[in-house]
Amino acid sequence: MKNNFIKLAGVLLIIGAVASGVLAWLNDATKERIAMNEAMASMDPAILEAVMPGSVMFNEHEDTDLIEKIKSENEKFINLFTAVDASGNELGKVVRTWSTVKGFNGDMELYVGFTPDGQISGATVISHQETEGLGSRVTLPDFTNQFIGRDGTAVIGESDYDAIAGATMSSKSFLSGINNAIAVYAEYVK
Amino acid sequence: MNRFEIFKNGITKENPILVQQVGMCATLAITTSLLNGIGMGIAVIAVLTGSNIVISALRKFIPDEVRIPAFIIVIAAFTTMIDLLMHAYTFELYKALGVFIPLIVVNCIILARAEAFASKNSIVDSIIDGLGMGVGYLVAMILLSGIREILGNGTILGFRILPEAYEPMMMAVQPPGAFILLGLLIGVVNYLSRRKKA
Repeated sequence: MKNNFIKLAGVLLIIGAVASGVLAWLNDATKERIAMNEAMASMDPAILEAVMPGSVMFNEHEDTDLIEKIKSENEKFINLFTAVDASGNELGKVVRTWSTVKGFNGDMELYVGFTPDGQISGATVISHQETEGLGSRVTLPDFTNQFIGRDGTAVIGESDYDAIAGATMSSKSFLSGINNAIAVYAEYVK
Repeated sequence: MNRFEIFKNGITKENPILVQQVGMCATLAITTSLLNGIGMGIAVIAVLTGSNIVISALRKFIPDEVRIPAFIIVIAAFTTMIDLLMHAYTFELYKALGVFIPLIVVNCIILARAEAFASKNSIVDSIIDGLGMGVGYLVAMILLSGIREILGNGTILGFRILPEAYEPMMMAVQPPGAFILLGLLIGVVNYLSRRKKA
């Protein structure tokens, strides 16, 4: 009886072990693709299009040492990405950063895209606490589109852009975010 | 029973959905569009055939006392494999089928074939049985999901086939419509099979 018990448990153990082994291998083989699918699904297509037209995905920049270095030297910097299109070709770099000047109610968080020849491809706010309907207008294309095509290596002065009337602090905060992204791009990426 | 009979058996005489009526939960839930029905059908074919092969191959190795847990491990492993593969390579379909992919593991038809067929027959016969039952499942899924998509949406695989003026029958894609249409479908199948016998 005792022997039988060991035999039964042993058979189940072997089947379970082989099944786990196969699944562990398959999990490893599909892990990357699944992570990519999930990341793509979680990206808002409107943000992708606004920051880097034609992109389907922002991959984290391969050089993680560089990202750590920028983080340690620039406290508002959040992350650096490579924007890719549907077939995986690189379209440019994207900097995710906080603004360095506070808006009406605090910092705002931006994505700023740069084309390979160093122009700004687009910028958009992904989180902010500005007044709805007033300061929140910095998130609209009417305001953000004026930065498309600007030189991504030179800081934009306060006289070089059109602030939103009645939302000067929000506009300045947005500009500081753009300029922080430009500073990062010009110093570390370009 | 020759091999063609085994294959045909799963599609007609013992069709898992239309005759045996097992695994109804997923059947009713995901047949809202033809693509979902086909995707689910193919996933079930893969799990059913895979588990039939392995269980048939191990039928002399697995002691009778622990056969059910052993079958469940094998079926769960194949289900998880399909789940991972669909998650990686057919992401849209994976999202649409949702929880019903992992639930294939408790689909009665798969354990039933393991117990009733694969554990007693040769590997080749078990493959044919798995394919036959799986294709029977797929055919029923195509019929039901096709009818539901046409009535409820006016489209087939997303292509509009009924004119814009057609007012979609919303009930067809909702759960009550699934019950009613499946009942009608089974009725038609019963009618045809009785007439054939007579």
